[in-house]
Amino acid sequence: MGIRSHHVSVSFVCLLLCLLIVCLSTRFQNIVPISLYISVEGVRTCQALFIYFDKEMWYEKTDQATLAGSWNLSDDLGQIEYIFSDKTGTLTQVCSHVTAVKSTVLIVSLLAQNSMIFRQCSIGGKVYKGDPEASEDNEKNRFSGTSSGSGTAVQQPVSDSPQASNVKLSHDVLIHFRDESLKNDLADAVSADVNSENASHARILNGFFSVLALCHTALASVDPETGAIEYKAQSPDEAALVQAAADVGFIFRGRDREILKLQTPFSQEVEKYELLNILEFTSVRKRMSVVVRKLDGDDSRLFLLTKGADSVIFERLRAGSDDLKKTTEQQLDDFANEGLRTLTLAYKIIPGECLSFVSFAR
Amino acid sequence: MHTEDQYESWSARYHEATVAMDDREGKIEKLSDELEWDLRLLGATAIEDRLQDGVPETIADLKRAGIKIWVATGDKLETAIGWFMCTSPQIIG
Repeated sequence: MGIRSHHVSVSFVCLLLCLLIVCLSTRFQNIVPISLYISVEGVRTCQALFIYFDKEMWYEKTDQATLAGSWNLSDDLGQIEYIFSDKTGTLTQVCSHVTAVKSTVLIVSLLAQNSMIFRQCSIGGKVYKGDPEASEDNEKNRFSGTSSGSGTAVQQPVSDSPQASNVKLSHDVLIHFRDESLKNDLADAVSADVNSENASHARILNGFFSVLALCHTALASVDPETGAIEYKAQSPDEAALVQAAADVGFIFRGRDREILKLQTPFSQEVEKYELLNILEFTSVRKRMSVVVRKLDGDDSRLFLLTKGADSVIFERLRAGSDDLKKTTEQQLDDFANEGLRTLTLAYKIIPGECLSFVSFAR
Repeated sequence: MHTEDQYESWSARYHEATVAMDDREGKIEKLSDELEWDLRLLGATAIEDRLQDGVPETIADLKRAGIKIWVATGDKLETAIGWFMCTSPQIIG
């Protein structure tokens, strides 16, 4: 009897519940979804607030919290399977930024912070690695400067090369390039006799840094108060290269219409070059060239100065001097294996190759 | 001077190419090829592109969470691999 009545009451309650659900679902059909949307929006707002107030996601450098740009993204975040990122921020030049979330794919920009350091160079087959301790000091300066909020480029304290001291660090460049042996070689080169065996290396040194200092589209802005030069370039790479040339004494003094001014350790006066043409860098060409003529000298030859990816430069080199090519290629591989971005520099004197120029042009 | 004239004529053609209405890139490419060859090698430079703080740790964390990462870069393959090996060797391998 007790069991039976219990059974009846259970089935009765079940029936009642079913009825109730049917009734409610027809009755609240129009109301339930809307209230659901509202409450879900409420939840998402709270999620966005949690993301905003998350101490772990605070960006200290700019003292900025994570901003949830779109509230709908937070529930997609858990389903991400792939992350696409560009390494150096050629897509966007700002801080890390989530650009898109599409179901299982997250696209993030900028792993690297877009600050360049000129690490090494190979000139005429000789590698200059830079002085480690000097760079560390500079780096500390720079970082303490940034964290204390001044944020601007730290000007190099009095250095032993008086010419380089009035060049300010470019915005995207972290440290100056210093190398003791390079400095000695340059000093030797300056004093080298034209006929001595040092002369050829001296010429290459001069050419190398002239290319660095002249073959670019950077602008030199002079601080009116301190007279310090600061380079502004479209890409941070370019700023780093011009900066490095300035650090060893080949200071690009700016461009006045078609005249490029360059100060070198080889002469007291500022050298002037007439800029005849710029062959722009594109991702297809992978190289950039300028055609310049040295002014105020008896030497009126035209120079083509080129920098570019090693693959395109090497296939355009003149025949001969295979030893130099081989060592440079080896050194380029070493640079690349260390994760450094490489560029190859070359030049040519235009009249010197006039005959072959004609034949090629045909 | 003979060669100077040659350069002038090249320069004029190059200027024409830069303002060409159609196939500008192809024309520029062709003309710059005329000039940019027979070069003398000077040397090479190596620039480091500094990572943001904490990138290796972040990538390692994401890897642990089973998320796959693709990095797009314009650098040489060797540079990109070397870059990864230097910054976060625990990620590859």
